[in-house]
Amino acid sequence: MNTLKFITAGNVDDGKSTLIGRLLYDSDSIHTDQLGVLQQQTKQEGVDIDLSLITDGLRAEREQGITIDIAYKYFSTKKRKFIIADAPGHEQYTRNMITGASNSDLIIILIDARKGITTQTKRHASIGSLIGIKKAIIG
Amino acid sequence: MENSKDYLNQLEDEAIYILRETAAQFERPALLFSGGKDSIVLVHLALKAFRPGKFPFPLVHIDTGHNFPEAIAFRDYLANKIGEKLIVASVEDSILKYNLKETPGRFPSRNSLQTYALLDAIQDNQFDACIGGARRDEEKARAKERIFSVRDDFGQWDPKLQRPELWNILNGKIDKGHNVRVFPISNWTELDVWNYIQKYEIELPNLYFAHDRECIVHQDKLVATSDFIRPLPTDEVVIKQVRYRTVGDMTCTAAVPSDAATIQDIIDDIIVTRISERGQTRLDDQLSEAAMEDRKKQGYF
Repeated sequence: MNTLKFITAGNVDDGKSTLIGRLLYDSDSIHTDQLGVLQQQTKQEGVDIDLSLITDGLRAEREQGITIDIAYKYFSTKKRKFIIADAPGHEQYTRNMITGASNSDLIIILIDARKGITTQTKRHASIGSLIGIKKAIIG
Repeated sequence: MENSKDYLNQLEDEAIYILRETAAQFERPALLFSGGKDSIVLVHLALKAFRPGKFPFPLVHIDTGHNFPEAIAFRDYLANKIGEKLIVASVEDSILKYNLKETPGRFPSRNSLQTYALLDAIQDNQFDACIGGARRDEEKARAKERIFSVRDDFGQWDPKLQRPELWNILNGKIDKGHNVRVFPISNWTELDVWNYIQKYEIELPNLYFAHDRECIVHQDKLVATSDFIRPLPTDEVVIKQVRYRTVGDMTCTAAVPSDAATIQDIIDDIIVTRISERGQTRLDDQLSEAAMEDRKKQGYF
């Protein structure tokens, strides 16, 4: 297979954008100038760089600390190319999550262990299934 | 390497599909052409999509008046070579017409002024869709765009009101007065564009390849001297071997020191570089942290 397109899903604040930020950071896919910008924008205390900001490209998203619409990120390893869709967790932005899910081969569903499975978790999981995504990673 | 060749075919298929959908769904589309590598690739894709027929749209250049002469020359050369219609909308004319103020500062960008010329061109020609070479990997606001991005009467982008876009179903139904921006190479990265250029030996303006140029050193960036940018006595002026990684206006695009003389050299450079395409070269993006988003909200593509 040449490309893997995947989407992160789950409730608000369960860590979708942070996971993607971390993945991009660990695979050396964030450019130095982008890292610099992230550092400046990081508002969280005790945190050097808030990696979730890499996908939150809209001013409103950064100000409110939430994802509103899908952001697409691209990176490659030697074996394969990846397209990541970072989805919003809020119920009111579900239509945006569906857009990203429809073009994904894999869905990564994140659950905050402290909160357990929430309505949004279930909603995203069933959308993934309805859309026809065959593979899921639950984390 | 085999993988990346197959992948280019997929990207190409997707782009050709999007171009044909645009031709089918809209009555008066246009292709925004700047003479830069992304729009040159778009033209190449349009040739694949429509030849032996003529393009169902004209090429439209929003000429800021601050372009590299090489880019203008290439634009005219290409339009002539392929025998397609070229419409040039002039930002200078808009400045006079609306009595607009130029952006102050040493490296004035006419980006925000371009929007007036673009919206006028859309109005005058009754375009209902504008095809552009923007890519999602270029910039964080562009990463949020749909393939068909609906704009209101003023060309404004409202990220909160974008439509679902499932699978490859592109919904171009709009009300009168609205406009759609179409982005066929949304999923192409900078490297994909160069691999494609290499694969098909696509001609480009020589700005992209190493050449000697007189530049001013400004905050670690090299900005070429020209009629628009004259050196001050306090400036450090150097002649360096440089190339342009992207081609915006002369007033706000920085050159990059490089000896890359061939496409393979450029590809090798990009693979190792740690700085993003626009981060290294676009002075206009750095005006504020949401510069691109703000321009889109005003009607920029």
